Amino acid sequence: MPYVILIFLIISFIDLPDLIKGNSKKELMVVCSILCFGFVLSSLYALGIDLPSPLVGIENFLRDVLNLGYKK
Amino acid sequence: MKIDNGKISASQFMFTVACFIQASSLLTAFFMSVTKQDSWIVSIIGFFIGMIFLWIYTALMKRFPNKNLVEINDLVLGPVIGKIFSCMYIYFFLTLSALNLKDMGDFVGMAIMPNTPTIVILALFMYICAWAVRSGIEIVTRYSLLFTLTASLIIIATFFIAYNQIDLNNFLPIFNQPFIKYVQGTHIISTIPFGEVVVFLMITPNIEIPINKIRKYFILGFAIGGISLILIVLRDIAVLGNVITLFTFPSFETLRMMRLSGTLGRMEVLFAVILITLMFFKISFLYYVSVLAISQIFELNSYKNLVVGVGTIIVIYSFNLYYSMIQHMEYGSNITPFQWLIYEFLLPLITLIVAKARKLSSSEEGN
Repeated sequence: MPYVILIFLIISFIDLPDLIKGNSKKELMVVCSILCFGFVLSSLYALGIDLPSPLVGIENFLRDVLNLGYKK
Repeated sequence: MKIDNGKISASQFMFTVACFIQASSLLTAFFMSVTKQDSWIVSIIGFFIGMIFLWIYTALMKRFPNKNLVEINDLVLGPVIGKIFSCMYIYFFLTLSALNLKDMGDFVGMAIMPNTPTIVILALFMYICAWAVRSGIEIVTRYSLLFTLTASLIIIATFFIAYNQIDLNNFLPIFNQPFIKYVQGTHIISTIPFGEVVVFLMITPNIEIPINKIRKYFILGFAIGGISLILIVLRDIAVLGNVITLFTFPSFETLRMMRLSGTLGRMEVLFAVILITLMFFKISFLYYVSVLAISQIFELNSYKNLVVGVGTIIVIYSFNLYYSMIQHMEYGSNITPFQWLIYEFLLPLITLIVAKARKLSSSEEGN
């Protein structure tokens, strides 16, 4: 967990200063939200919490609801 | 509005397509476990079905030579439905990069460095990819020629070195399986390596080719990749025969069996070299495309600041895709082809039909 915080601090120090100096507020918002999302995912991974996989979810939907998929 | 002003030439585009397909051809286990010794028939049929997909993509490219996929969606389907389509594509690109990264990590973890935690390998790998992606499309595609040549050379060389191990009886019996197996195998191979060339719709504005020649170069690159894939499949079946279904990386086992007069053994290191180089190319291309699509959908002026953030998401996502390798294999050969068909066939086809019906085209204004 400390490594995650350290790495994200380094990333923000590299990426964000130019954006804050520039006047594109929208870009700053998008970059910050993507970094936050990445930070949440990495912290959950570091803490050992498993998230449900969207890929498996969609494929279960295709298999069980739409009845697609080859049988073994 | 264009985000990346880099230009790539015709031959570079051709080798990029070839390299992209060669990269997936090393992981052939999905359809080999289904059709066994008849996989080579399936891959030839799949190659021609891939041509149909290619026809749709090049038709879209010809119609909108100065727009990429996100802009095409916005123009053709309107801002709301276009954005939904683009979000689906972004999900597809991210998933594809994460899946390829996972394959790479599994391979390195299994075969080369079993004691290193996978996240270390993947994070370092993504760091190099991020470096390439930040430099733009020209850098990402520049080494395609070198990588394609190296890979083709190794594939042809191993074909001759394996000559002593080849047993033509391994191809028998032909056509001895239920018909549905052949349908399934064709479906898998036409969607998993071949249909993935849909990502090239994202870089249409960067290609410097006259519109009527795009199809020629696309098909040439596709043929180089497809033929090397068919060669790999033929070699693996001829050497391994029916036990081919037991392995996750059939090519790796084939090269492991080769010996040149007792002095040149351990050929599998060649496989590791081309796998990692080609995977680097494919992942950085997919990574570039995902970052470009995300920055395009938010209408940003530059994509460079997004690169690292998206990279961390891809690394963590690649751990999250499947719970185990067995689940990966089972879903990959039974259900994933259907899901991929949505992004590779259905959505581009809908876009093309709507564009034809609305008589939309950008080829007159731009050129």
